[in-house]
Amino acid sequence: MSNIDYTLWPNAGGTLGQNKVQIPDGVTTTWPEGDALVGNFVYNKGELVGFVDTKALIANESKSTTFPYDYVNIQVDKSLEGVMTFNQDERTKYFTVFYAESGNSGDVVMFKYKGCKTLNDIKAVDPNYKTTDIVDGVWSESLADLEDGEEMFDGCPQLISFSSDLSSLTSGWAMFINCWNLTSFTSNLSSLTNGSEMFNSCENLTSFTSNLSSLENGTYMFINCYNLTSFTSNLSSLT
Amino acid sequence: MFAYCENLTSFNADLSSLEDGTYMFINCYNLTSFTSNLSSLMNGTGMF
Repeated sequence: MSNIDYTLWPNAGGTLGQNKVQIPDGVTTTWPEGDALVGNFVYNKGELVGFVDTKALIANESKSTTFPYDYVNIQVDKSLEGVMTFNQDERTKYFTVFYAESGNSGDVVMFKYKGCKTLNDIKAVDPNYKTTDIVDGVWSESLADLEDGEEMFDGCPQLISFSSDLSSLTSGWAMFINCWNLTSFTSNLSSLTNGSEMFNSCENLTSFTSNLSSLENGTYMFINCYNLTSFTSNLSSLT
Repeated sequence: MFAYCENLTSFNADLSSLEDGTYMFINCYNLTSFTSNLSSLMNGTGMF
């Protein structure tokens, strides 16, 4: 546990931008009276630019909270790109917050691309995956350290092909749910124990190649995969 | 797990620990080939 200097994130009415900080695991900080509060860190084009309250603006009282987050990815309204000044109300108005739940490493990401509309935008605000994330619908970057990918690509219609090492992934709950255009998936899922709804409604998934030898929960894992024609794997741990 | 995989024609996987396969392949209208080990299966309600 460590403390973060809240002044790094000037809020209500402040001008944001300048500080770039990697948030440690389990950070605890205290927010002074009148400040806000429980929320998420804002990145814009890879730069940490602020702190956004996401818990109903609990102002006018001292708050102490533990941040269970490593990184926070924010989908920024294009009109707000660059250095931003906004007040308390605008924080929730202009930002959609996707946060990364902590616990093990900085590579643990949740909801990372949930609801993405254009992956180019997401790439621009991502501090960890600055380089080629998805090119022409193909994801190829290694995610070998990723342990929790819950809802990571939820609703990413641009994702067509996924070929990446997911050998550390233990929970893939809804990881690719509603990736309607995902047609090919090749990866190592040998650590995956929870695959519930992982490919739910991947309507165009035709090819699936992976090792699922640790999978214990496969509830609705491939539900509505209308075009999955062949399935070959090891499901020896499935209960 | 594979509900509504309407075009799944072939399934080949070890399911030796599977105890509950309820509705696992429901509405897989075109499943014609199934190769597996179901030695632990206790509940196969609506499995296919």
